[in-house]
Amino acid sequence: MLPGARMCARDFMDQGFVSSIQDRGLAVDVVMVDMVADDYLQETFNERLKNEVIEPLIDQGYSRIWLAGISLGAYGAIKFLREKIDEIEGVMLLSPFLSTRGAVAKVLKEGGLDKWSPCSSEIENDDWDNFCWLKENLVANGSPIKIYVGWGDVDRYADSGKLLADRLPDENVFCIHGDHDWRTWNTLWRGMLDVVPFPSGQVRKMRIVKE
Amino acid sequence: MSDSQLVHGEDVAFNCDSIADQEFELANAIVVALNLDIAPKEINPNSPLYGDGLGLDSIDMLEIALVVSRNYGLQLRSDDENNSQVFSSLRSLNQHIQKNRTK
Repeated sequence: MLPGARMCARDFMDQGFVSSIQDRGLAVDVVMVDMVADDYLQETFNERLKNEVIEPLIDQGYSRIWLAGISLGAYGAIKFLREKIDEIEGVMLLSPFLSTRGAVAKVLKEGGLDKWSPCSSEIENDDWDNFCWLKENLVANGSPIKIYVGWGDVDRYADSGKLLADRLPDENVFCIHGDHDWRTWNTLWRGMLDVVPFPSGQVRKMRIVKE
Repeated sequence: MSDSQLVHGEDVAFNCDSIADQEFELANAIVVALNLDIAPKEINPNSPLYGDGLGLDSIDMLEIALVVSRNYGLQLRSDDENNSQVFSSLRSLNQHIQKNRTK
């Protein structure tokens, strides 16, 4: 689990995200990663997440690894997919920050990921990397990775959710009345947990990784 | 004394036009990045970016930090103790950028 800006890993426990998994009897072990906002923007982010979190899990025998991220944490999840897609089975994105709102607005104005084509300056600009990857790899009903997205309808990043939703099956998309806050994310999270194909069982381990 | 002259500090020696150009360029980058419904020239360089001024909040500041990083090669750390001063106005942010930019 990847927290957003101004959050910490512990918030996932305090806000009931972990107990929601337990309440549903899901056999999902949980790692909450203490990232700060700047970490997601660093070039070293993917290697750090891989070396400090993902690879140790694989070494322990985990073969089904999902990423869940809120806001900037969702940005981090997609950033990781761009390079390490083979290691991840699925992602759960809440109020995803894909890029600046100006960039999202431009893509939507041009007709969404289907019609938008990056110009040369955008190809060379990190702000557009997520869009380029999503345009190439996110195909409704045909993506190699399972992606679920949720957002509140008055969230400042609602347009990012809409942009992703255009490329996802309806059952993977969650939009409720709400804002960029824990109350909204908690409702969205519970809704996702009810449909994401996790096995039944019990949470055996949960831990916080300090980055 | 004009607004532009007021920002002339001991270690910031730009002429009036260049400071105005820099501030406009920064204002434009902010307006575009945040998809704000105002013109860049409407941003008063001395007004607070937070709260009552431009009405931005801490999440907006993260997006501005991202743009500053891309455009000027300058990392604005979210935990920097000087952030409240750096982000206090467009003028103050521009001064910080011009002192520390790498591109």
